[in-house]
Amino acid sequence: MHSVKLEKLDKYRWIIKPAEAMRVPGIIYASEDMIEDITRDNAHIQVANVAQMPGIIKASLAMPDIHWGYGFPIGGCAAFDIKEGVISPGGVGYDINCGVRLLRTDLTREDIERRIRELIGALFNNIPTGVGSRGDLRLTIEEEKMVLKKGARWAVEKGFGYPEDLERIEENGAMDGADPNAVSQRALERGREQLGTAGSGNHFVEIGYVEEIYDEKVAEVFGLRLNQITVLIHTGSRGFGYQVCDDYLKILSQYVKKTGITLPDKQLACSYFDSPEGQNYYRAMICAVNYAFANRQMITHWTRETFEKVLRMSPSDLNMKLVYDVAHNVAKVETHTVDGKPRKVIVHRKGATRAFPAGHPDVPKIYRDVGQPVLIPGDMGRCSYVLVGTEKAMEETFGTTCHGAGRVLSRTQAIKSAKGRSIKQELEDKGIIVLSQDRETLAEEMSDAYKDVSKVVDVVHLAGISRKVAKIRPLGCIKG
Amino acid sequence: MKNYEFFDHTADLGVIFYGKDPSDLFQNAAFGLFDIMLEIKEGGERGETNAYKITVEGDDWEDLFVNWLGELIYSFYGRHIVLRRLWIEKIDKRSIEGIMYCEAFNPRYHRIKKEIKAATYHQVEVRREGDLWIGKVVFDI
Repeated sequence: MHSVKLEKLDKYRWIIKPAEAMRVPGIIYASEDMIEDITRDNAHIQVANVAQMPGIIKASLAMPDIHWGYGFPIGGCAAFDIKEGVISPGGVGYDINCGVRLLRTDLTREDIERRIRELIGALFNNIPTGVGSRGDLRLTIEEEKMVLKKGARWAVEKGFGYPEDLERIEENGAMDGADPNAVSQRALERGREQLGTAGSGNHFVEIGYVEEIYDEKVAEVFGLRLNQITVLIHTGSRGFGYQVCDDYLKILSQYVKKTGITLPDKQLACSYFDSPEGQNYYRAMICAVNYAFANRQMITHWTRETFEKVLRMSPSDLNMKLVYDVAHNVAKVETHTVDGKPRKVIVHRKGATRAFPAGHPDVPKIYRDVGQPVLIPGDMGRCSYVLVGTEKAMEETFGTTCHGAGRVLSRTQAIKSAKGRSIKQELEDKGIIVLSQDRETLAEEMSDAYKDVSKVVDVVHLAGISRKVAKIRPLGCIKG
Repeated sequence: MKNYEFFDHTADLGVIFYGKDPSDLFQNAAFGLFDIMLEIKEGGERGETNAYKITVEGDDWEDLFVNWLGELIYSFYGRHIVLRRLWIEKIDKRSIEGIMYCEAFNPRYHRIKKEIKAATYHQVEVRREGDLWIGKVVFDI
């Protein structure tokens, strides 16, 4: 499969025509200047590999933030028939329901500009981050199983946040169908101590402000206005999700051998969705999805507490509300129109975000007139975006858009290129205060290691699979 | 000679481990993994060790290697234990059995350097080159 050829379909789409074992074409959303990076790390070959999987519908898709991942590329989206198609842990990723949550406040940039260092310091103390971070919370296994079933609702019932938070979370903060019995004892052990922690790598909690608004009407419905202070939380299901993924990669590798499904890459291990193995993975994955929603809910609570304490403000004066919370590593059963008919499919989004349009029943009532908020975090030094879902995404990409910037440098390359530089100081010079558990993380996560998120967002905006609403500029950030 | 070295990989951390035979390779990989994840603080007093039996199976050398490293990653994150000594009793390409002597993780003398979350099948290789056994793996971090 090394001779995979990309042909230009239109201004922002590239096609890999079905060849050899491919069942459908591959389609990559990208601008001309992104193609070199995409082909250099062989991510386009992974798009073609996914197109070979049983029951894939329409196309193996990739967003402009595509880069190499295990099995499926990051930035990939693929939908499979629920009877004849498969489900694959590689199509979801290790960090199940890695996702983003955006909070807004009644504060303006001027209100807290001089307090950022203090706020970041306090967030750093109150939210466990970093390698293997463990929370203060010690759950019993029985309690943890409640988290897996109830997701963010569990957290709200325990006093972490408000009931109205829930309607502003994808799936209302808890996906149906979780079965803790499908989860190994090991996953439960790994998950028990990490609930309420942000973790390491590219995960963060970031204070920013709305720098630009592209769509006044939609921004108003989302509660966003110029200069308003926001908080962006990016984390997932921690060690719990990793163990679920690891366990099922093993189980499904055996399944693949048993059933004789031919796959071009072992990390694409999968099983028919309509099989006991497929259903078990799906139900275990949902447990991890709910774990991550609860995790972000708890971090939200501590963020609110920190702001209230440092700024000596009441919750009502601060008015820190959720804009939305999206999952960008997930597989879900959804109904999409295929060949003019509604069809139930299992949509895999790996480093890709759901982007449903106005009027869709899965968009919360408060946003249904305009469409679902889509949250796109950038790297530490640049900016992040709020987009809105569109009808065109439903037509072309199973209601899916990009998820972030996408790496261009490996971690080791990033560390090499950061040698002798103080990334922390460089960021401070740009007015961004960063606290991290360790210097290496800052080097690995520096701006140069990522594509420019603005270019990624421009492609999805111009291709019409989501629309720009607002741009957020960072002021400070805590990293793992 | 160092028993392992890194190779470049866009998303994650690639490592090549070396050994003079399979037993030595798997042993070096186990210690190498903990060496990448942890730093022992200077002057820190070490904990008492307990013995844990470890048995891992696989379909072939590669599968066994990934499962072995996965088991050790779990030992650290699930049981919070750190490898001090290892005695491999039996090894062939489908199974490995041994005894790990581990101390409890303690932030007073262990510093976590790198969070390794999983050993993956991507580009995994176990092969013999003359007198050397080589194990190549990509870790998700």
